Amino acid sequence: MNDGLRWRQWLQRHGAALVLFARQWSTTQADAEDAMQNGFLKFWQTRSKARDEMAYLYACVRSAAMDLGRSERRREARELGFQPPHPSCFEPVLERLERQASIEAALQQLPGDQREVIVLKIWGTLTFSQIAEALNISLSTAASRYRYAIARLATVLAEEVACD
Amino acid sequence: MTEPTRKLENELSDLRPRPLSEELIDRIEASLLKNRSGDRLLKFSMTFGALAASVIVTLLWIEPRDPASTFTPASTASHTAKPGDPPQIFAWADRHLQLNDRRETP
Repeated sequence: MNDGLRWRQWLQRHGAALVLFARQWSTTQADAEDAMQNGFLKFWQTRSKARDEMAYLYACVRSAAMDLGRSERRREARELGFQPPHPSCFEPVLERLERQASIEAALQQLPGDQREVIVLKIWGTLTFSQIAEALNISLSTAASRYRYAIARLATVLAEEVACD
Repeated sequence: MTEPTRKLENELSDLRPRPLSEELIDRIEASLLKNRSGDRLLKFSMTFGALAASVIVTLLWIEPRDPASTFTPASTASHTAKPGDPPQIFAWADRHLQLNDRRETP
């Protein structure tokens, strides 16, 4: 298939989830997009050596986002006092805006290693085996992090419903 | 998986991450094109370099075996080396002098 069409198909299929994934290490949407761009370019140039292309794509974006996140933190330390706005990572659905905000807030409360597994599984649609490869962890660790994360999300959201 | 867990998973899946902006896709396309032309230039220079190296090696390999290019000092006995003569003549003259020295020494 034409190379020029293939990268577009990859972006169409995974781009939004990749930005969401990169967002975990980025302060702003723009930084997450930069990280996704860097990771995707690295993936595209070196994908021939990947055992599993999808796992490798997410691993590339993760590494790019972490690198960019480190330099961002240094920049933030210099620009103390300025807090950029945090718009929602998801497309707003009018009739569920409140619930959407609760879910996003609950996601933010998860430890980073659990949150990244949730993002990879739910929005990246990766298998546990691919998640394990992308994060360089064992299959059982990937599965247990996911279970803990879902249980924790359920608890946090249930508490919120009870408070309302 | 329990029913509430599955329900929560479905609820999460229903949330759609923000789609990519056209501007971001254009940026990625531009970077890919830039990298592709860079790769082509690198491949061209590597091929050209390898070709040039193989030509040089071939020339060095063939030259000593070519009988036409081998120097035969037929009439060099009376020839005295001068600046500007080929190096082979200097080498031959050196060897000739060394032989003469050996003959003269008792």
